[in-house]
Amino acid sequence: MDLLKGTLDVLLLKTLSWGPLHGYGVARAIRSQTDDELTVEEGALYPALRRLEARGLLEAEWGTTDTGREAKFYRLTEEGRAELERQTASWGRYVQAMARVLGRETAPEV
Amino acid sequence: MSEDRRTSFHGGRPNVSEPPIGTDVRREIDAHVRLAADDLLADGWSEEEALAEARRRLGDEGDIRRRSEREARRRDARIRRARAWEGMMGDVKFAVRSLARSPGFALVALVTLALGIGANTAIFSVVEGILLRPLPYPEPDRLVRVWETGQSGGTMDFSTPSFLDVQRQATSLAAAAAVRPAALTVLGGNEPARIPSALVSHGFWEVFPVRAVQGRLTLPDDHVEGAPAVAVLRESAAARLFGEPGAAIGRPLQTLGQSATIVGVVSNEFDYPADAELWIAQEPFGVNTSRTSHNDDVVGRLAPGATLETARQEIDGIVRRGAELAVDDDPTYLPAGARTESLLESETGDVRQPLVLLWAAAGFVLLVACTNLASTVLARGTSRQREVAVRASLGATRGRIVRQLLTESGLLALVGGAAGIGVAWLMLSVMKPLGAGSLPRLDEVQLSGTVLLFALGVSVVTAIAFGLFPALRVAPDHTASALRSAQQGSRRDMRIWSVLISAEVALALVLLIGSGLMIRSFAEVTSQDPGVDARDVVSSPATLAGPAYADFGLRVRFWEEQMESLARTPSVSAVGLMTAAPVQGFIPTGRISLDLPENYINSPAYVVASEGAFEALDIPLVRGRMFGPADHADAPHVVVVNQTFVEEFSPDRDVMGRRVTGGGMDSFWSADPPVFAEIVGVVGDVRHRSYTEAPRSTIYWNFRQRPSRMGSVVLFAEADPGVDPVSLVPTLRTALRTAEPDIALGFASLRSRLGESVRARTFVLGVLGGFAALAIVLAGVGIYGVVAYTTSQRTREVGIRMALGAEAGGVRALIVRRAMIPVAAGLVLGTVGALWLTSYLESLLFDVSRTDPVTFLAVPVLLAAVAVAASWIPASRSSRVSPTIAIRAE
Repeated sequence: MDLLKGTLDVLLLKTLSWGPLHGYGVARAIRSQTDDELTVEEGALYPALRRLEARGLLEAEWGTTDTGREAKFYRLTEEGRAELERQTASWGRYVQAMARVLGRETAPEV
Repeated sequence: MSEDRRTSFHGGRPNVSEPPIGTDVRREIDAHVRLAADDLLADGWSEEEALAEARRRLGDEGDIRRRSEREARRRDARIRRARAWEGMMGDVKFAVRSLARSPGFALVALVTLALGIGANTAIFSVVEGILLRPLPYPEPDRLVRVWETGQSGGTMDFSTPSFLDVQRQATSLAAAAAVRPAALTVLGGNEPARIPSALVSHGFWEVFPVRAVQGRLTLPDDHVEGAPAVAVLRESAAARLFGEPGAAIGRPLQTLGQSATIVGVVSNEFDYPADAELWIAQEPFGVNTSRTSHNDDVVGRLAPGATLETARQEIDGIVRRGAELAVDDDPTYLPAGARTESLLESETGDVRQPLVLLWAAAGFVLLVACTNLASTVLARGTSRQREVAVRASLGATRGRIVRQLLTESGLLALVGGAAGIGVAWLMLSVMKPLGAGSLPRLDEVQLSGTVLLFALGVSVVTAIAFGLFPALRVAPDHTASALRSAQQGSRRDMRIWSVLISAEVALALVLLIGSGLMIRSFAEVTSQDPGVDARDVVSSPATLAGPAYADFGLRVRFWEEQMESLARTPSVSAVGLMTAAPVQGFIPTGRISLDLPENYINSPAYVVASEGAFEALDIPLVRGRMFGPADHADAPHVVVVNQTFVEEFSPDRDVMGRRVTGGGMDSFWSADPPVFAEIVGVVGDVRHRSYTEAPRSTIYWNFRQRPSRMGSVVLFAEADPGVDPVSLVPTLRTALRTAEPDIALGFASLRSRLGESVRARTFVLGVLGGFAALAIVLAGVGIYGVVAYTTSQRTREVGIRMALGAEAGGVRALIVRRAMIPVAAGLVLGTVGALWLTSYLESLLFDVSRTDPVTFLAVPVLLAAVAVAASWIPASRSSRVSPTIAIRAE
């Protein structure tokens, strides 16, 4: 299943809310969390991460992985955390509204 | 996964990317491929296959890199902006603290700026509202005003045949209309009213396609010959006459001896011609076939694709060709062509020059303020040099220090500018009543967005003007010299100050001389003798509107009776009427000929009058006799002429007893065989048009014998000596209203009416005088400030001189003399500048040369006196200091 437009950002913020990660780690985390239901083109992560960084929602720093490889790590800023909360709330409302409509059995009274 | 973390994120502020963005992005993607390949290796892939697969899963690497780099650049830009903002806020905070430490300086600077910027903002709002803002009509830039041009080049109103030619033939005009503005007396509303009106031909509402708020505008059918007369009212007049605009529709109004039905009401925003409230549809149907009767204002709307230039050429050609066809007319008064101007320019043409002059004056005030501030900031900077030196040695760069000092002046200018907007508002509330009636569109003047933007712009430029130079001057070139220059600076500063004082004096002098010339000119204008004694006189336009007054005999009888009974009223010494008032701006002229073999022809002013008017206005009878009751309508016609008429006629032939015919104003002149009137007297000259225009040759016709021109007259009543003429008004009004309820009146003292004629000059002069006063105060304060500061720096020198036996008076004189050197230089410079700049003033001056020696001597002397006083105060203070204290001063 392809990602809906606009959902990548919130997915990235959520993934990073558990702690700093590098881009490859983020891709791996998304894949395993969604049981491979959502496929994200790995390369597309990078412009998205940098866009979030430009908006001040993430900050980045070079570091070393456990396996001794160098990688750029991303971390949620305070603003990023606040943004995630807002997004989570609005997504909740959106999903509920969609579910109500799609779950209806009888025609609504107009 | 989270165990991948091996970085500290030690916090701190984000930095602009380093190394370069491209490298950083490539490195990140390479790291990704490496980590992905590592996982694949663990699953048993070979190194080579794993790397290839990792890259494949990554996607289009070039595209990813490009997009990532773009985002990274945005991030850097955002960080830089934030940095700049923080830096500026830091500078601002520092500036606020440092200004708070010297509140006296800050206050003087703010007041100076507020006045300088305020003056400019106020004048700009007038210039913007009157000269620059488009007229409030649809597509205002397509509107034009057209005149015929006379043989000598001046402009004239259009004759009816010429207008019809233009209306029919000009393809460069989408619509054209003839307009005759008139103040009409209107019956049919709540009470008789005098309403600024216009008789408009068809095409008028196509030239001005406004919308009717009630009813409709006039349609082409309303302008057909024989169609019922219709009119359009403005909301304001409709409300006044009928209580509310809607009630006006369908109601008849009586004016000009006819009844016109109101078909529509337009909004108060529409006011062409200026102040008009009533537009009566009237067509100049072949009424006048003469191409030498110039009576119509003509307006037009450019056709799509036409330009002002094409219209100009086409209309000029049309009028020219028309004039060639007119064989019967006197060629002297035939048009030589036509002139076409944008409507905005023609509406504001008269005030353009005075307003630009005031704008320039405001600019000078601001320049004086700037030099003033520059010298103050410099003085302050010099005393701060130690602080600057310390900061420089602590590593602040020169750019950083300049920026800091500029922030300070910028802050001052912005706060001063904000206060200046308040000052401008105050100035406007004084200026608007002063200019009311003499400046067109004055009600549209306000502190609009454009004006506020202008104020901001002026503030910024001002900040740079008075801040940059001292900032550069104070900020050391390099640290080593900083401390040394603190000691050496004062000599160099003296020179700079001298230059600043010279500049300030020169600027103020130019402004003062300009104002002085205008004041002298104004005095000349108002000292012109209008030829009447206005002191004890009240006057009122009086218009008879009732249908009864279509009867000429009745008209004459009404006025004869009224003047007789009014003259008997207690406290009234004389009553009379004329069809022209003194200094009223316009007077009709008519072509006459004298009964001579050589057929003398002239076009004197044509005034119908009663003998009482000459008495009330104290116009002397120089020779012969005045007409009187014996010269009734059926008696031989008699006239009196003024002295200019006699002079123009002939220096050595007697004008008395000669017979005149013509006048061109009524049916009388075209009688066949010609009817003659005898010249029986000569009266003194009256300036009927304006103070500044020499009296023109005039014939005064006996009102009993010229009733056709008596529909609208001006009534004059002179009070007995010692009686306030205005106190007569209720009596006069009641008497006239009792005799004729349908008479429109508007009494005022003649003096105030004469004053109105110079209102535009009063406005310019009032504002200019205010600016001049401001400049002189600023210059005085500036000189005082610099002398006070430099003298305080020299306390030690003064102490030594006095310890060595110098007299206090000698020391004072020395200080004042030193200050006077740059002042004198400024006076010379300013005089030269004024000689050059007043050439722009020449056309505004009346009877005063632009090199008027009185002004050019008095003003510099005045300014020099101010300068002496301004330097005397600090000089005498310093000479009173005890030598022992002075010598110890640092």
